[in-house]
Amino acid sequence: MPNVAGMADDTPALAVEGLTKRHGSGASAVDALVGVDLTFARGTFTAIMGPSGSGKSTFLACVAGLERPTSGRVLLENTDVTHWDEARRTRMRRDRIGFVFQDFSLIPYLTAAENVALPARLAGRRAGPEAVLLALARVGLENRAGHLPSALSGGQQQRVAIARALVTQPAVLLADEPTGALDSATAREVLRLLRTAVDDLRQTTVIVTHDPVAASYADTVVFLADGRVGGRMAAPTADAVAAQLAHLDQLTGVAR
Amino acid sequence: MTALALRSLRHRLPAVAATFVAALLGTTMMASFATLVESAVGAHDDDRELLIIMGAVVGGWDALIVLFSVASTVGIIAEQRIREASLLRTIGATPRQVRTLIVYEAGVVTVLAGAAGAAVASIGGKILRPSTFFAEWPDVPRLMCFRATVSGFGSIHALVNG
Repeated sequence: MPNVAGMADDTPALAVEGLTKRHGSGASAVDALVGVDLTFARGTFTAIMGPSGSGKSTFLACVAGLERPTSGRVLLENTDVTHWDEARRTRMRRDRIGFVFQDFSLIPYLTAAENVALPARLAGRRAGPEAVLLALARVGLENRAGHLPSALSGGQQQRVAIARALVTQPAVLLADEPTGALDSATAREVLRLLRTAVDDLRQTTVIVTHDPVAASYADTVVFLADGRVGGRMAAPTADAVAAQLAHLDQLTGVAR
Repeated sequence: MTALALRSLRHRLPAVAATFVAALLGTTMMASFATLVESAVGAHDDDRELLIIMGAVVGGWDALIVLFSVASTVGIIAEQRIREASLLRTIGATPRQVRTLIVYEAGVVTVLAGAAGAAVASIGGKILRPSTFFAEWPDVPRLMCFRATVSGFGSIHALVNG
């Protein structure tokens, strides 16, 4: 590791500098992100919000190394990962980043425990059964370890996905609309779980969401509009976030 | 990845059955005509020409049709799994691991179907061949290898293009 000194606690888990992503070229080019600067300190919970097309998904894809930014840098624990080749980025996703998606994204033919053990298996390691069970216990599903995803409710599937994301103790957990497919009671359960991971494990977490209630579980909300940071809010409440979003919609509506 | 591939095969039995049937029928047809060519070796001069022409022309067309049908069946199945492949990539599978998974699955199905088809064809060949041409029984192991190669080629062709 080139930056052992940089592993000190005040090192941000994740930072982006001047992140710009342009889709297409020439007259039809679209700027999804325009010079975004953001820092995510360790053990913080950040929600990224914005209208459709504000660049939220592109932001996650660039951070995860699924897309290459047109310019700017992505720093994961102070290491510049922007220009890593595909093999290194694959290892980074496997070992240093946890993912949670809107559609749960579990492998349908593997049990809950096997899904949680999958990242280790892909790395050619055997995941310790205790570690897998502990991860499932943390999301309250230790007695569902042998169930296939089809035998679990939506909320339970999402909790398995969270266990899978946490089991590798990633530098950052990225969640794309984690409550988008859940009813509001189940959504609150999942959000409380994410909040607990932040508080108890100091798990740096970044979620992208449309839902002001989901955002209110975060420490900070970052608003994106037209690919730029359009505002921040600390200690957000659902009402304040909703009001700010409505305002943002108006602003971008005028600009168009 | 082997264990994963076998689990995946068990989970998608209908799609696996479709591939199996396509490869099985193809093998049966093709190998049956191949036995005509094969038996030409031991046949009388006049019969030999007929047997070779019959076997090679019909069997040759058949080979093409089988190749395309197996290729498109496997292609469709691979297509349906793009989402799963991208999920595996996101959680840290290398492109090679994803390819291994799919090639292994296709390989298992086509080798099994090829073997079964060759067995059926040893009977099919008997029916096709008038008893006057009767010379010797086809060499089943050799045909099996031939068929497995053709099916395998079909699947890999589909994977490369899909």
